[in-house]
This record gives sequence, C-alpha cells and structure tokens, in this order.
Amino acid sequence: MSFWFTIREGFKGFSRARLSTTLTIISIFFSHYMIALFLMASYNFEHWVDDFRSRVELEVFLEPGTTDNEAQQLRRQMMDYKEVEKSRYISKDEAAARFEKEFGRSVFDVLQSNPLPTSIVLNLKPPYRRAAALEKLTKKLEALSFVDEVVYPRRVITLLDRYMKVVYLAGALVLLLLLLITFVLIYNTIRLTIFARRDIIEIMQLVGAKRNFIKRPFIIEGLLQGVIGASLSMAAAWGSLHLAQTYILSSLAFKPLYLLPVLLSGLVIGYISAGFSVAKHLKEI
Amino acid sequence: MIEFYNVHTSIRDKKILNNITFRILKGEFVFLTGPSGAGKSTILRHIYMDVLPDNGMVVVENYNSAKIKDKEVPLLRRKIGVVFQDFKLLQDRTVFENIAFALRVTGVSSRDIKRRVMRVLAEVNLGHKRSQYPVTLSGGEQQRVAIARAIVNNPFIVLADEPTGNLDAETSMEIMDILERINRQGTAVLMATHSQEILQHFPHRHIHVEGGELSQ
Ligand SMILES: Nc1ncnc2c1ncn2[C@@H]1O[C@H](COP(=O)(O)OP(=O)(O)OP(=O)(O)O)[C@@H](O)[C@H]1O
Ligand SMILES: [Mg+2]
Repeated sequence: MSFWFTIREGFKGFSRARLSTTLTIISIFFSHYMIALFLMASYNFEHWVDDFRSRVELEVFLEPGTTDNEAQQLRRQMMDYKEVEKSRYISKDEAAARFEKEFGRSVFDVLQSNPLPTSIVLNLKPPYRRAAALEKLTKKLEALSFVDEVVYPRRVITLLDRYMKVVYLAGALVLLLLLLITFVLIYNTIRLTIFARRDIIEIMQLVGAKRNFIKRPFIIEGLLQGVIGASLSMAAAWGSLHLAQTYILSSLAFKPLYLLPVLLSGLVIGYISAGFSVAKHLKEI
Repeated sequence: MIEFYNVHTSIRDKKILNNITFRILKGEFVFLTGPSGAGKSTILRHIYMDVLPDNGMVVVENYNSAKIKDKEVPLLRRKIGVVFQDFKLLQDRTVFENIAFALRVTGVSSRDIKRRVMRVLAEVNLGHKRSQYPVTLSGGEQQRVAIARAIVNNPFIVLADEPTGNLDAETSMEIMDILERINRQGTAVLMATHSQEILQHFPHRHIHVEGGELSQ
C-alpha cells in the first residue's frame, strides 16, 4: 500500500509542474534519441570497419633466388607467429598469373624472363589488424633472412585508426554533454516540483513520515521522466532506422539489444538527477 | 513526560528562548500565553524537535533533544499531534484522504486506515463530510479535520498553535469543546493562545512567555 501511495504521489508531481515536466521529457527524448542514433551508427560503422580490416593482407616479398623450398619453410615459420591467421605462398608462376589478371597482359609480352618476385601473403587475426601491430610485425618480418620487403596498405590503416579514435572521442564528448544537459533539466524539474509541493512535504514531516519515504515519490518522478523520455527515443530511433533501411541503405544492420543502454541511461540519469535534487532541496524547505 | 531544562535557543544568531524550564505532566491541559513574537510557536517546535536547543535540553517521553538522532525524529512525531492556526490541509484531496494521509505515510494498512479515519471523523462530527474537499468547508470544520488528523495516530499530546486564531467566538468554543473532550480521554493538550475569553472560560494552568523568557 505504501508502494502505491509512492507511485501515485510520484505521478502527482507531474501535474504540479506540467510545463517543466513536459520540457524535460522532450529533452530527455531528444538527448536519448541522439544516443540511440549514435549507438546504431557506431554499430554499423564498426561492422563496416571490421569487414574492411579483415580484408587487409600483408605481402612479404622474398629476395630473388629464394627457392620454393626455402619459401615454404619460411611460410611454416610465419604460421607459428601469434599474429598470423592464414598464409599463402605465391610462386613466380602464380605472380605472373596474378599480373596478367590485374593488367590484362602477360609479363612475357614485354620481357623475356619473369622478373616478378615470389611472396608470402599473410592474413592476420582480428586483434592484430591495426596500425601499431602491423608496424611491429613488419619490423619482425623484415629482419628474417630471404625477406626483401613487406607491403600492406599502411596509409589507409593508419588514417583509419586515427579517425576512428577521433570519431569515438567526439561522439563520447557530445553524449556526455547531452547527458549533462539532461541531468540539469531533471534536477531543475524536481526542484520545481519539490517547491510546488512544499505543503505536502511539510505535513509529511509533521506527521512523522521517514526521510526516505518523503524522498521516494520525487525519485520515482525522476525515474519516470527518464524512462518515458528514453522509451520514446528508442521507438523513434527504431523507426528512423527502418526508414533508413527502406530508403537509403538496406544493408544497415540493427540489433534491438543495442537500445538497452539507452533505456538504462534514461533510468540512471533520472534516478541520479532526482536523487541529487532531492538531497539538496528537501533541506531548504 | 515533557520537560524543558534551561533551554536556550537562537535562530540565525538571534536569541529566541532564554533559560526556559517547565514540565507538562501526562494528560494535563496547559495554555501557553504571551504577546506576539514572545516565542510560543518556537517552544512548540522544540517539542516535536523541529528546533533543537543550543543549550539545555528538552525531554519528550523517552526522547532527549541532546541525544535524538535524525532518524528518530519521525518516530517521535508519530506520538504527537500538531494543529495550527491555518489548518494546513491539503487542498487536492478529500477530508477522508487528508486524515488518512497521516496514516499512509507511516505505513498503516488500508484496512486499519479506513477504520481509524472513520473513528476520528466521528469524534469531530464530520463523518458526513468525509468526501468533501477542504475548500467547501467552513473554517471551524477545516480545523476539526486538522484536529482529527492530529489525533488519528493516538498521540499522547496535542500541540495546538493558536487553533482558534482564525475563527469567530462561537466556532472557537466548538473547537475548545473538542480539545477538552480529547483531553478528558487522557491526551495532554498544550495550546498557545492570545484569547482572553478562552483563558477565562477554561481554568487550566498557564505558562506565560515574554521576550523568550518564562514569567509564571
Ligand atoms: N525561522 C526564524 N527565523 C528568524 N527568526 C525567527 C524564526 N522563527 C521565529 N523567529 C523569531 O523568534 C521570535 C519568536 O517567534 P515565535 O513564532 O515563537 O513567536 P510567537 O510567540 O509564536 O508569536 P505569535 O503569537 O505571533 O505567533 C520572534 O521574534 C520571531 O521573529
Ligand atoms: Mg506563533
């Protein structure tokens, strides 16, 4: 019974500061909509980047005169490296075939003998598909005998790593700012409802309600604002993604589970902001 | 059961009470008199420990102002009924709900609430108006609702801070009759008042305070 009392009083707070409650829910909706979009965008972006990284190959060119036998031995040695997932040896003949496929004419059209070097192509395990790891591995490989040169799309990987960091940092900052604004708004709305309900609080204190009991409806109110705002934003984000899938990019992926942090964020921010506000303002009346 | 021992109290650096000592016995009816600003309301606030003394102490039942913890204050207040000049009713709920409020916030079950609220409503003769809102009641009726709320927790004392201050002479007498009846049932009453008429009419002990000091 005291549970329903608390819920009922929590809802009454809504009607006491209707305008500010509405504005707060709208702003929670907005900030959490941004969060949801950000999460879904980063989910897709991550997907795309991972896919790109998985196709990165490291080509180890061997010194001229390296025999097939020596090369195969070298390849087995590389397979023991923790970074390496797959490897494949490209003999002179295969290199020639590849040349023909890429350039549309045979090397023998121009030259008497095949000048193409042999090489070993390495695919790396996921954690090592990054600039720093690739750099380290390259150094290690180039120190081996028979190895002439190691080639991979260095510039692209470096840029990718750097911009990923910037994108995430910027995103996190924007999210933090949005959450901060949300905090201030809920904090302030609860302050208004507390002052709007001075009379009821005064009487609760007079008839011997415990402190936590008096606080609870206001905390519930903050929670409700957070949850309502966040739920609306989840629905809107879900709708937006469907529209985007239909009209822009059908390959956009979506995991409903990814919206869970949005709800959680609404809940937590509602709870925390209301808690702080109540702790501060209940003393002042 | 209520004892003030050499109580000195300042509020925002202003001396309000100076060396107040008195006691109120179980079931007593006592008037608290004195000019405006003398410190009557402040004395009452000490009893429900809304204000604590800087020096000296206030003992109420088994609670001592020098030792009471914040957490215990609500428990003390459940044993004290308080009534004010301005009633302090909640305008957004009915007479019944105003009284039930005091029980709901202290965790009484709904079944007991109904029974106990009906009983105190009968005591103040307002059973028939239980579904009305405070605005539709006269001042005297509103004060009776406030009294019902004050006694619904079976307090050992009712503190009344000028309960007739907003009422005409006839209505004041009705309120006094109710307070007298409550007192006869064993509840102590401490009532602050300015009214000479009431003081003459009801021969109870006076505590007179002036400029924050007692003058018996
Ligand atoms: N919260 C407060 N802040 C500052 N001064 C206060 C406060 N409460 C009371 N006072 C002062 O304490 C003194 C006593 O006030 P109190 O309300 O106890 O008087 P009172 O006897 O009840 O007067 P009245 O008959 O007008 O109700 C007054 O001078 C008042 O100005
Ligand atoms: Mg007063």
